[in-house]
This record gives sequence, C-alpha cells and structure tokens, in this order.
Amino acid sequence: MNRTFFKDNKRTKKEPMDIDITSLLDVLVILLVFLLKSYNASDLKLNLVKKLTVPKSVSRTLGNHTVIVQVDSEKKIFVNKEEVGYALGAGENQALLAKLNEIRNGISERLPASKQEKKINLVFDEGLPYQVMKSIMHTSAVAGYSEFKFIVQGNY
Amino acid sequence: MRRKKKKEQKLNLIPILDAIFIFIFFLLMSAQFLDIYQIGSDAPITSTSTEKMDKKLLNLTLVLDKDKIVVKTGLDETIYKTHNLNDLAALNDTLIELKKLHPKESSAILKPAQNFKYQKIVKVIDATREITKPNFYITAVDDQNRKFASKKLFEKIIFETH
Repeated sequence: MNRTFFKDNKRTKKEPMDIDITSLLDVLVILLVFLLKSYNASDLKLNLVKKLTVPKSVSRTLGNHTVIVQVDSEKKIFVNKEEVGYALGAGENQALLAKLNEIRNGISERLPASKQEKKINLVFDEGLPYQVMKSIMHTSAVAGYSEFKFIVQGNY
Repeated sequence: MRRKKKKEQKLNLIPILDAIFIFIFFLLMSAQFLDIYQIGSDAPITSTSTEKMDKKLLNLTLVLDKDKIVVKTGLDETIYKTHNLNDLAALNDTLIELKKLHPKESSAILKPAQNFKYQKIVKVIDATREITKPNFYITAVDDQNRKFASKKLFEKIIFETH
C-alpha cells in the first residue's frame, strides 16, 4: 500500500516558468526615447527658488556651472539658493556684494586675477523691472563677475 | 517518416534589459525637466582712447521705452527708426537691413527704461540676436573676409548700466 501511495504522489518535473518580457521591454524603450530626447548636455544644474518664473527665449546656448544669483518676484535675492536679502533701489546691493566677495575669496584665493571666474548666472523673474536687473548687474560687475549669463527657458 | 517537432527557440532578452535599465537610471539621474539656456551679455568697459575715432562705426543702440523701441546709430546716436513694442518683426527687419550694411558689426547696446519688464527685454534680445523669419539667411563675413550664410544679427548684447 505504501508503495502505491508514493508512486501516485511522485513529484512531477515542472517546466521552468517563462515570463513574457516583451511588453516590459516596449515600455522601457519608450521611456528611454523620452529621456534621451529631454537629455541636456549642460553641466548647469538649476534649482529654482519659489515664486520665480523664468522667461522664455529662442536662445539655444547651453549654460555652464558657476555662481547662480536668483531674484524672485518679491525681489528676494538668492546666491546659490541661499537667501541674502532684497533688491531694493538702484546702485550697489551691499548684501549681495558681501556674499559674492565671500564666494570669490573662498574659491579662487590662490588664483591669479586673469584666471578668476568672471561668469555669473543671473536668474530673474520675468516680471522684474530693469531697475532691479541693473542693480544686480552693477553689483556683480563690482564683485568681479563681468560676464552675465541670463538664464532663460526654451521656447517651443 | 514522422517530422520531429522542433523546440521553439526564444531570444534571450535579459542582457538587453539589463543594459536598458542602466541607461534609464543614468538618464533619470541626469534629467532636467526644465529646458534651460543662457543669453550672454558683458558688462560695459569704459576706456579712454587717444586714437582718432572711426566715424563709420555703427554703434547700434536700442532705447526701450514704455511702448516703443527707438533704433539709434552712430556715435551721435541719430534716430534711425522707431518701432512699436508689439511689432518685433519690424524691428527684426530693420536690424537685418543694418546688418547687411555693416556685416562685421556684432554688438548692440540696450537702454531699457527703469520700469521696463525683464520678459519684454528678453523678447527684444531674441529679435536683436537672430533672424526670426524661417528659412531666411543673410550673407555674413568672417575675420578673414570669407562670406557665409547666417541667421545671426547682433549677438553681443551690452546693457547700459549707468
């Protein structure tokens, strides 16, 4: 009897389960195409502050990594995402100037004047008046950053 | 003779899948969903020169007022044309005309009014730097006097900060 029992319950050799991955592959290829299309070779990584809308432009020049000054719609100034004060009135902005000088002294103290970074990325809210821009540009130039790079978003 | 039933051969997709996963991970990590670009502009440099000034210098200046754009040329800033702010195509045409007359010039000075909005400034810059009409090119001249077709107008934008 025992013998018959074991004979009947003998494990049948199962065939390895075959998962159909074709549909998964299709999804991945679509994702890959989408990501490749939106790939940007620029080394500039921008984390926008709140209340800031970047204007649209037809420019297709890629940005570079350097100091980033952002001014939001409330005229709040951020240097590398750190709040430094408000852009009020014309002329030099002392808070911004102090921060830019601090960055310059920290990074390129040992570099000769000719090799020091002159580029600065300026990210302004689209609704800001020229008076604010002028003050920021003037302060940046005084701090030694005389090559302004206005950051805009692609217009399609 | 009975035909032997052949086993269906399947393509091994696993290595391809591995490669795609790595690629997707890399692209996701470096993805920036906001397309950002830059517009270059240099701070004006003032210098004193004892040399005789060239009177043929274009010295293109765009005065941006509340609702109009005044195009001025020459060292004495003679008014060349005035355009409505909403008619940037006409401004582009004027600049094409000036570029044809001065193919070696590439700078434009912007003088916006104090309360002129940044968004409008960017639009004016776009119309100043490049020909906006599709499939329209002008003959440009490089440093070695070689001619080539180009869409570029006045690429170097200088803001008047005083």
